[in-house]
Amino acid sequence: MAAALPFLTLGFASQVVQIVFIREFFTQFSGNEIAIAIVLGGWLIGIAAGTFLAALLSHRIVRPLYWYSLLTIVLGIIVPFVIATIRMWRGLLDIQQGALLSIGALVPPVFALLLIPCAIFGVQFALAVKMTGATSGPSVYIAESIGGLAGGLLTTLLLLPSMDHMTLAVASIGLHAAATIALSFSASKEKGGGALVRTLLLIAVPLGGLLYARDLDRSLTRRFWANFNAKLEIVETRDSWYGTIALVKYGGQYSIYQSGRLLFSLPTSAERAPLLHLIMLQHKHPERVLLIGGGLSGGLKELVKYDVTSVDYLELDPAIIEIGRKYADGETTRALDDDRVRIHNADARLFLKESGENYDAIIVNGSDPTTAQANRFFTSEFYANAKRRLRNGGILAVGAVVLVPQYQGDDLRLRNCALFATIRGSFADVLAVSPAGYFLASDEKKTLSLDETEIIARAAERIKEEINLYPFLDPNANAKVNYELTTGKSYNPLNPESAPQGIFPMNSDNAPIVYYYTILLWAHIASDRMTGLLAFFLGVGKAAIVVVLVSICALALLCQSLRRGRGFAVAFALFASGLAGMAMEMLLIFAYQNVFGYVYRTIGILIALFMAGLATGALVSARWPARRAPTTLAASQAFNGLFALALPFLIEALAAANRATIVTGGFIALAFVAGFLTSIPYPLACKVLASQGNDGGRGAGLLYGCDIFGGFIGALFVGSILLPLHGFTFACAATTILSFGGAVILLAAIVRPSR
Amino acid sequence: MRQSRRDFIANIGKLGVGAGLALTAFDILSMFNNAYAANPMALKEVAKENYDSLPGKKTRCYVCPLNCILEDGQTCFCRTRKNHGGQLFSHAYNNPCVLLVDPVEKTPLNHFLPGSAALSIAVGGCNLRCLYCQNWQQSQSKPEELKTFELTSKDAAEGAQKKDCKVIAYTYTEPVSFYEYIMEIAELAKEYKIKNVAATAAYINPKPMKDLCKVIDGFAVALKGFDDKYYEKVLGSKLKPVLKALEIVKESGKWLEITTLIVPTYNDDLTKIKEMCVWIKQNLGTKVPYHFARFVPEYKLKDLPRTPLQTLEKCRDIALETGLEYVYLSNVAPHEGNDTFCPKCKGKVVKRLGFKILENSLDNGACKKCGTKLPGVWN
Repeated sequence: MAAALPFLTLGFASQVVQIVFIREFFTQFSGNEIAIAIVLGGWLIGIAAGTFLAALLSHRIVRPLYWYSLLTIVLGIIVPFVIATIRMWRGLLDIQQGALLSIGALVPPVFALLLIPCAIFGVQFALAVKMTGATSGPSVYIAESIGGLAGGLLTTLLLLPSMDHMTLAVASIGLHAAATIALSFSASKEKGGGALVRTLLLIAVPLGGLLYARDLDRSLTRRFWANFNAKLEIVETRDSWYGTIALVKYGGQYSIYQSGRLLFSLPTSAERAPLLHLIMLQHKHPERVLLIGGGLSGGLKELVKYDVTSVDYLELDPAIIEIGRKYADGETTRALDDDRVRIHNADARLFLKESGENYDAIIVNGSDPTTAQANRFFTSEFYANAKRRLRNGGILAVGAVVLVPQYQGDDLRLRNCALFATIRGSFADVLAVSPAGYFLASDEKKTLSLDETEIIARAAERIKEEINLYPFLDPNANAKVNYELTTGKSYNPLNPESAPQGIFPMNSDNAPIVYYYTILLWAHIASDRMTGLLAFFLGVGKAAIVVVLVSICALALLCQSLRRGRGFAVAFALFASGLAGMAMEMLLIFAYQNVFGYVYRTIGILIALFMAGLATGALVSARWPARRAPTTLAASQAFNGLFALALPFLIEALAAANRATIVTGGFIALAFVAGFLTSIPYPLACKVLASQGNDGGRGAGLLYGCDIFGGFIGALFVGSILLPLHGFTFACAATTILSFGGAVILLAAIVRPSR
Repeated sequence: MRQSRRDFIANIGKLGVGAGLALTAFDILSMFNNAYAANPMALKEVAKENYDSLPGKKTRCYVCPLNCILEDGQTCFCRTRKNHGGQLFSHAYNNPCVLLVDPVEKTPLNHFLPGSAALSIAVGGCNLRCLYCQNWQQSQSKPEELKTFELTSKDAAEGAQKKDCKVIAYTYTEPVSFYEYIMEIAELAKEYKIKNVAATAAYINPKPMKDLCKVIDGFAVALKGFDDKYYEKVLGSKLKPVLKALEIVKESGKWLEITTLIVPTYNDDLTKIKEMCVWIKQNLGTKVPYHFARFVPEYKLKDLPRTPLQTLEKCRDIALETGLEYVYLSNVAPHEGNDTFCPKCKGKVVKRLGFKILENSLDNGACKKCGTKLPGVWN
């Protein structure tokens, strides 16, 4: 085990670089969480490629330390290069200024960019195993996992707020280089002139990188914005816990972006004010108001014009208020300082759950549910929570979604019908406001009105200034949008017909179908090659997926029966556990976001705890007697399946808890258990293979590759398709099928090891 | 019976080939199905003077400046005209995807029967590819890909009359792409004493434009910029044919208002705005109402900020300084750029809040205060 200690830094550097890449790509994907799945998928495929390559070349590599050192030097060059390429992406691909990037356009470059650095990490893992001895795979695995844990925790808790991405990545590689130098000195065979040159390079590359990293990072940020739109002047950028904030100036107007997504512009938009008034005019006398987001973009200054007793204004990221306050108009800054206004930097979902306050109006100034984060304000769970916090006759207003009155496209129509059906399922009275893209809801019937005469009369009574409420009160547009959202049919104004209410899927935390529709819509907008594939999965039912998964297991069983030894069964089990592990990690990240808030901040902690589980599991597993390895491996598969099966219930129990500490503790425990169960199989599999006389480096590398390849499928298929389309529970069930399949195949191989 | 490994591999291979053939057959059937799926009700042959039949069952369309040459079975760039065995048919016929009753000001037309209701009609398809299109779901789809209404020209004219709409507006998508349908509705609408207006980018050839002018009473033309590069890069079209089409409308004597959507960082160069205003003044006159519209992030330019108010106001000032008499701001309200002012006494004659008319002090199109007759269609 001691021989594996220098490889702690391999895991450390790998984890830090992974977090940096995820955050960088998150910005490129306009803050869409699908970036996490794609980057993790690309990451794992790169690692798998590296370990497979190393396994294939294992017998030819006679100087593993030489290659290990050389690859560390290459990492010191390639990682900053990849970060730079990500930032300059738009310019390189000649993408229109300010334009959305399609998922299809992003996936190939993500994979291409991640391939080399990840493959290097993979090759280094195999080289580490070779250096430390044939049976040392588990020890290296453990050391790497512990390093990963340290990297994840340190980065998330300490380093991110104080270090830019470039410095962070280069520093982690510097540490890795230092460990490599130590390794070189301890290995007598590798000394000489060549070793000296390598040592000097190992010092020079990261050190040089560190000297210029900060400036390089700044210059790349400027370059990113120049590629985004050369005419926008960068005034300020800041890495906050929740994303990269940028304030740009153009034509006397300031615009705030978060992770590449436009949030709002200052001075505030004249057309935002009427909507706030329309919402406030729905209530006879709103006294207590909860405003979720949008305070700086005009919401707050309009609210304080009413005779309210309190306004709770929630903005998750304090950096947005800090930056926004500096450039907001006088009316907005006065509203921010108004005694009746209380500003909370908290996640709205958690705030609603934890605070005991009740309101006359809850206004969610959200955005189109293009991200899982935004989708959380359009689920039945959120509506149920909001309803509990409304006083009698209280109003919930939630928006803004793309809800143009003349829409016809199927993806948008289905998405919006599902959105509307979900809120209608929770409130007695619901109206869609066109063209604002807002839903108004109340649990008291006939509270809401979009009648022009009535609303204009109320406005005349309560608002002194001239407000353009008319666009929201167009009877034709409102009749059309409400009819179409309710029935799913087209509204013919020349021949209005009554039609029964349509049946549409409900959008829930567990099954965020709207998020999937929105991804499809995004693909459609960007004329993405993936549109067809995404639409195809929309038509694939749960039964078909179960049949495919069972068939895969049956086919694997058949293959095992046609082969000698247990190698195939072991490889399949590793594939299944890798898939289960990554699926669990993705599902936990998703569930955490649902319950807790924004994932950008905590992703490192969750991954780190998962890594801690990995390290502990591998440690326990490595000490397990070799003779019991096959049966234990089968049992671990079964446990993986059981854990996946139990996960939805465990998450539900956590979500019901009202204390943030309980929720966080619960998630930490679950991430740890998921990691623990994921790592148990690998050392056991190595032992099974070793008992069959397999070469350590090659076999360990191949098995690691299977594990990682399974993880790749888990991240992409489970995280991006199964979860949003069929829900959390089904995604867990699908993972269970494969895990149980792995167990059955292993048992078959144990019972009848050879033909 | 136990399979040998070779048998197993052979069977897998057969399965793979079979699945491949089945998928190919499915694709071929789908193509066949799509090619002839068009509803015969939604087909109309393009007027012979607007296309040529070429050897080898090819056609050349002359409706817009793209002049698409199509093989049999191919569809024009606009997604609506298709070559069926050497004859060109429009698939944008009797099948609108948008049917709405709107204020005519939404077109936008401020000097055309103010306050009237318009029956808005749109069919899927467009011969432009604007990156910021607000109606991309319709404009960037084929008519048969959308949910549509069955609406003959008679239904449209009768429907407009029934709903008390004085106007039928061809809007939301590009009228040039459903030109044949418009020609038929507009002819019939005249018999019902209903006026026709078109909101168009005017990327059209001179001959069909002249024919359109015979049936359309008012045009809201989107002159989207004054730079060929912008037209090519952001809109996928060209400027010159649009300028020619504007001159044709002017010559026809039909009512014309112009709109420019100011897209920040793309077409907001004030020198170009000045050039555009000068061109309008010299070629179309000072009495053409000119609207500057605010860009809101949409479609592929979702992460571009909205147009700064300051920019819009500068554009308006330039247009007024150039001598244009009626300059408006759209998508900004309240703003004095929504209102109409008498060019002589400078008094406010129509007060608007967005599309809504709050006060109209015009008497049959004349300023009540000084009697100046304002240009427009008032009755």
